[in-house]
Amino acid sequence: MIGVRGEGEFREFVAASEQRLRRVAWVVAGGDGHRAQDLVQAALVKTFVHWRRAVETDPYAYARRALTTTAIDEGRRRDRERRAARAMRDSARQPPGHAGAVELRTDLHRALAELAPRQRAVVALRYLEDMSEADVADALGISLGTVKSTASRALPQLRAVLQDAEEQS
Amino acid sequence: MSDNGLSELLREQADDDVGAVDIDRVVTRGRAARTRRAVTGAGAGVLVAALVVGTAWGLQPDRAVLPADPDRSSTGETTPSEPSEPTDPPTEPEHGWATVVGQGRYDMVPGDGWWNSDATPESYDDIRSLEHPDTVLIAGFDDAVVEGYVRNPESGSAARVPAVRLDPIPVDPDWPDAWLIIDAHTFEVLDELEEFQTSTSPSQVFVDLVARAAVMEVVRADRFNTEGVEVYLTGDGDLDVTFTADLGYDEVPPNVADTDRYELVDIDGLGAYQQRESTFLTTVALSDTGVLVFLTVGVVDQDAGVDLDDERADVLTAALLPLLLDFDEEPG
Repeated sequence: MIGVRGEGEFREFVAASEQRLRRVAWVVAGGDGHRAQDLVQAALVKTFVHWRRAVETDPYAYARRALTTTAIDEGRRRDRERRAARAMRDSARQPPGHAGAVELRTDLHRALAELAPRQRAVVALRYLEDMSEADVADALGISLGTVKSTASRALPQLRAVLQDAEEQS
Repeated sequence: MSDNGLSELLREQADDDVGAVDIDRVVTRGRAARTRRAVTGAGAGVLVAALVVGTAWGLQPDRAVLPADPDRSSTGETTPSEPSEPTDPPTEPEHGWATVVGQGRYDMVPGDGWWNSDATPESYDDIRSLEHPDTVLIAGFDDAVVEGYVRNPESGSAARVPAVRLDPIPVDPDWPDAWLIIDAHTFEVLDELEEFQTSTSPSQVFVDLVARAAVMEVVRADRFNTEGVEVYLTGDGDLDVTFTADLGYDEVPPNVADTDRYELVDIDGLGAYQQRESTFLTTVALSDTGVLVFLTVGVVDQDAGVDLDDERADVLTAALLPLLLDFDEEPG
């Protein structure tokens, strides 16, 4: 059990890092806010459990790795994202009647949900964390080539959906 | 849309969508996890103790009962239990807990590594107790043993033991749906066991799987009666796979092909489907009697950045899969 001092440090770390983690979680969770919150909480619990190990290197990187690893492995075992993506896609085909912002949000959710878990993780780290491709590869434990290929497939898909949304609005 | 615009949009939406975490809840859960992890850290020893004791009292598959610990309390504070009637009076072992007395036969003497939940890894530093495992426990959430498998030391065959006859064991709370067979990650046992593995008896398979499971740290195995038509993995939709056709070696079930998550493989002549990820390898196979086996090997500490050793995962899977497929049905 980490001591009082360690717990205080952990709380400070959470206060300083939570927002960044929430953003990453939201993307890797495919725009599912509730699942993102769960992912952040799970990642922070793991970081708390291994706090000594985490502070030896970079607590934020540790927590982010816990988050992305959990999300990727969980996501690949779940069909529900696929079902959710289909549901969102079906929903998006409904006649327009929502405000532009809502449509944009829906499109963004749909675009994210249709990405594979690893694609979302790459997007999150590249475009939320501003990490280099090499750093993304290191953070996700994959090759640089995989990062490049993953991003090259994910981003056009994401951009296209968002561009359509912009044009329609 | 520019990449900057994309980044900004993602941030805005995320900030709108994701609520703040409850830090007190995180800390509370973290404390609990650490407490349980401390116990789980001795999981190998706890399990080994169970194995040793199970053998010592001559358990047979149809009446196997791991010794209950009446002193176990909800706080986790325990005192070593006294075993039930042994079949043979304990004698001082020649080599730690286990003494080989013949091919496929051996006697065990319960020692400090008795089944309890306040043990520490240091309590179980005699890895020789892993030499003759006879019981494999599959544990689920809340420390419940879901089922166990006991090998008859006489015949070498293994059989399923009803969960109601098994005591709880600690499991890693980080795996809420984990079905833990072996949690021996505190031990470096492979080398020792490789030196030991000279037996040619059927039980060698069991030793092999435990040895390798210890190295792999986690094995999850789920078995389902399928009637050869439809099979669902339980849980909250995880692996929502529906096999609408026999797992014919040349035929990929439609849904598997659709989800693109399993790859048809040949494991020593057995047809199976596999999903290989960074920290686990799941194998699905159907027995001749219509029992579907889901077998997952992986690493416990997924957040530690340790990836699965693919070669070891393959070896363990090849050793364990036939065993799981051949297990007898639960005895009445």
